[in-house]
Amino acid sequence: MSAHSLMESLRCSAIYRSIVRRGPADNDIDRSLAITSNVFLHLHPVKIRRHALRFTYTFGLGGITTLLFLILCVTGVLLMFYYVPSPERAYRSMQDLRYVVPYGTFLRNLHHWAAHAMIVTAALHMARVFYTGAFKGTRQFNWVVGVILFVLTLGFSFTGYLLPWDQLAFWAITVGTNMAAAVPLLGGMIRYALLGGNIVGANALLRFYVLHCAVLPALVFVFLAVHFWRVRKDGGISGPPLPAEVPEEGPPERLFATTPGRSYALVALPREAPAAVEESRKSPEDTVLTYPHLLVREAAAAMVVIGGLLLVALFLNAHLEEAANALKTPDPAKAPWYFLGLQEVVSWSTPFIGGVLVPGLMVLALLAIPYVRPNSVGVGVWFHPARRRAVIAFTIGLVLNVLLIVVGMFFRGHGWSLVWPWSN
Amino acid sequence: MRGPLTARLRDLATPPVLIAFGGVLWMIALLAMVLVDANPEWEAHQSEYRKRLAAAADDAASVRHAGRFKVQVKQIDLPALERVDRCVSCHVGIEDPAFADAPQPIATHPGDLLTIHTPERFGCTICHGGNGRATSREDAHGLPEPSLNPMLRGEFLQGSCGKCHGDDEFVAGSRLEVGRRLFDHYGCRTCHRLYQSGNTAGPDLTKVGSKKFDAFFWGNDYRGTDRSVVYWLESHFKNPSAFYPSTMLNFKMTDENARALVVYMLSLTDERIPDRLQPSRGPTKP
Amino acid sequence: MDENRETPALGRRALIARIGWGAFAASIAGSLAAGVRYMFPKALDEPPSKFKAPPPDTYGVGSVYAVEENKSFILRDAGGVFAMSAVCTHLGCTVKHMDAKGEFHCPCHGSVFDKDGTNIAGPAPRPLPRLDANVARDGRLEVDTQVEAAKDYRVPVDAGRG
Ligand code: HEM
Ligand code: FES
Repeated sequence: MSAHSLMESLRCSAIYRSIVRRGPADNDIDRSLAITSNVFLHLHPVKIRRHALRFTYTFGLGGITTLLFLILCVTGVLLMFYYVPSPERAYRSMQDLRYVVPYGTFLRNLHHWAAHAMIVTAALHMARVFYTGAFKGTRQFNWVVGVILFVLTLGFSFTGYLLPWDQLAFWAITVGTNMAAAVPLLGGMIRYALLGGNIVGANALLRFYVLHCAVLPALVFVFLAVHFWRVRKDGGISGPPLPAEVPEEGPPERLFATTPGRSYALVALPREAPAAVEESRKSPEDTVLTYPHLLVREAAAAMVVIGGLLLVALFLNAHLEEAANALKTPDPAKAPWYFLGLQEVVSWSTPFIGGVLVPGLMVLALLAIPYVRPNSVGVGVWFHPARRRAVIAFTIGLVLNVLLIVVGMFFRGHGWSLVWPWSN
Repeated sequence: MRGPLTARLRDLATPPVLIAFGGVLWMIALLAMVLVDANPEWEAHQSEYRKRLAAAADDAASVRHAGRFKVQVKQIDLPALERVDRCVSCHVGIEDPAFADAPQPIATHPGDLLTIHTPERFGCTICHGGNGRATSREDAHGLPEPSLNPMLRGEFLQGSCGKCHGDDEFVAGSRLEVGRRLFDHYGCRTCHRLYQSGNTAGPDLTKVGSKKFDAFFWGNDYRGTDRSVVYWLESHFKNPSAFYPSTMLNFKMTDENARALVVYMLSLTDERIPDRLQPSRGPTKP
Repeated sequence: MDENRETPALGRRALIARIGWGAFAASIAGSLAAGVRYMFPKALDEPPSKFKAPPPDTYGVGSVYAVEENKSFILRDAGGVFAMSAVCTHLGCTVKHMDAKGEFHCPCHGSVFDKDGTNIAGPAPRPLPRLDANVARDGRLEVDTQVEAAKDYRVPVDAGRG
């Protein structure tokens, strides 16, 4: 094929070789180099346990959440080209995006749905980590980093919610910040600092904008770096304990350091390995090369997520209600959906209980999880029987949260009265 | 559990197939996006307008005029009114007398109102309502109703005149003027406040024309589909308890009178009109 | 990974891989192109390039009517009415009409244009461009600041079509 030979001669060119400093990946050394010589890919170890490839272990959720975050960064930066964070112009930017900016609607939809999806996948990722006991042992602290990332993700959505400056945004943020004001002693100050004043106005919009577009992205990048670094330092993602003894042909070749908590030493690269042996070497860890095995799976997950997200963005338009009006509260005024559980609690109790105590305790409980029983029983096994009670408790919390959100979303009508979803 | 179909699907879901699948979805979405963007509603109307311009061109000047017409988003930029009206993207012919018999949306604006209220100073939405930035019929007209920015239609359009013109300038016998007189005639101020006078037994009506449909109480039993402001007001005037038991007196108004009063209500908005567009500022400069 | 399952013909795999790569490359390229297109909105909150001025017969012969918002002048001479840009052809400052001399002076680097817009002094490389002007159907003068007209272009004053 001429296309083929064209590719070949391209590969041999001095320029290509200066960029890609390895041969065609037809042997293990080059496959390893594919990972280690690439600044982006070397987030990954060269080899991973075969177990880590199992889709039904991670469901790719951490990776999908990362992808969504990156999509949000790209679409967000593009939106910033038109968005002006002032009460006079914010809503107009939204209208212009919809009506006169080529593909503006589509881009806004992408950002909108990716944001909602990210909260869902981050929550599911947390659930998967919990149910597989992946927060145990050396991974305790990475769970804490994860909780911080989750809180930051919510912060992203919360601050982003105000930016369109329509009625939904305005009143959701009014409700949200008043919940923050219920913190004892400091509440008023927190609200004041968040809003840059006493009302949701120009200052609040500017603050939320800066938080959303500068502060939170920086924080998330920092904590993501820590998160990934820790995954590496903890020996890759978790899995069931390695078999104690290795059967068959005598003592296995020790290719890699087996000490848990270490990434695989690069010096252990199979230096004089014959070409094309790929993954065939038996070692106690039963490893496979990251390139291509993990990478093609990641690419597959990424492409399916991107394709799906684009389709959603094509058909479902992000809300844009009437421009914000400080004098008229829509009925009902609802917080963003992920806070509806809390709003529900607020509606039966006090802002302090629903807006501070419950969420505060929830975050504390999450943070405490890895430290309650610091053992490593059942790591890497879904719903391990040794953690039965913990699993039940977590599930109850999760289901309760989802239920309250569903009630808030579909069963609350005018004046926050209980209604059937179909009666409106 | 796992039937042959699911097993087959599982086999099919290899990374390369999924990559190809995602990639194809991506391409389809991109293509659809480009197609949607390339075929806006206004384009068809402007093409029709251009076709008619070209067909009717009979002298050098009008041929030139037709040749120069560009199909693009048309808008009236109105910094003084803090708005941009893109209605003219579809209603391209409003200022062209030759389109008097053309079909909507490219027809000439009826009457001679545009000669006093030149579009480049006043735009469209200040009188017609609706959503000026929108470039699709539905969004611009505030459809489907009820919506937050509905257009004022037919006889109710006069409500907008009262946004700028004072009571003394109302054309005698117009609905707006009749409505204003009825307001005094029925003694509405006995219970309602308007500007600085009146009482507080009923709600203040100073900005009633800015209220959206969802700011009115529709009661718990109303099952009708018309939830527009105009409908609420008219029903309420004819029978104050149309939607819920109201303490307001029933004046047994005729349809005619109720509508005139609606028009007057619609004129009571909090829209800010800059001084230099106010009629009291003397004759407008060209 | 299942070695014992019948491997599909290599051709099919290669085909799928090729579709995958092709779609990926096309999508990236398409998305980048869309990103470029995104930077060019179809309308801006800028004054339109076209503006309307009073009908031609309202200008006295020899008068210079400045339309500040649109950086243009409308002038009338014996031959008719024409519109002229007020944007200096040097580096874009707005020229001033000096009533006494009938000249146009640029405050930035001292270019001077005569009453027809011809550059007579200073660094300006070209005359002030004449703008396309026509009598609109409503009788008023419609000027397009984005379209340059011929050097001697004028709207005859009796050309109004009412
Ligand atoms: C912004 C949100 C987050 C992102 C982008 C993210 C990303 C990732 C990624 C890519 C991995 C690799 C394994 C996998 O794909 O499952 C991972 C692992 C992990 N994540 Fe997250 N994560 C996020 C939030 C969280 C949260 C909310 C928690 C828990 C509270 C958490 C706890 C962990 C732990 C403990 C691991 C190691 C799991 C193992 O070794 O099996 N992460 N994260
Ligand atoms: S810009 Fe006018 S002289 Fe330089």
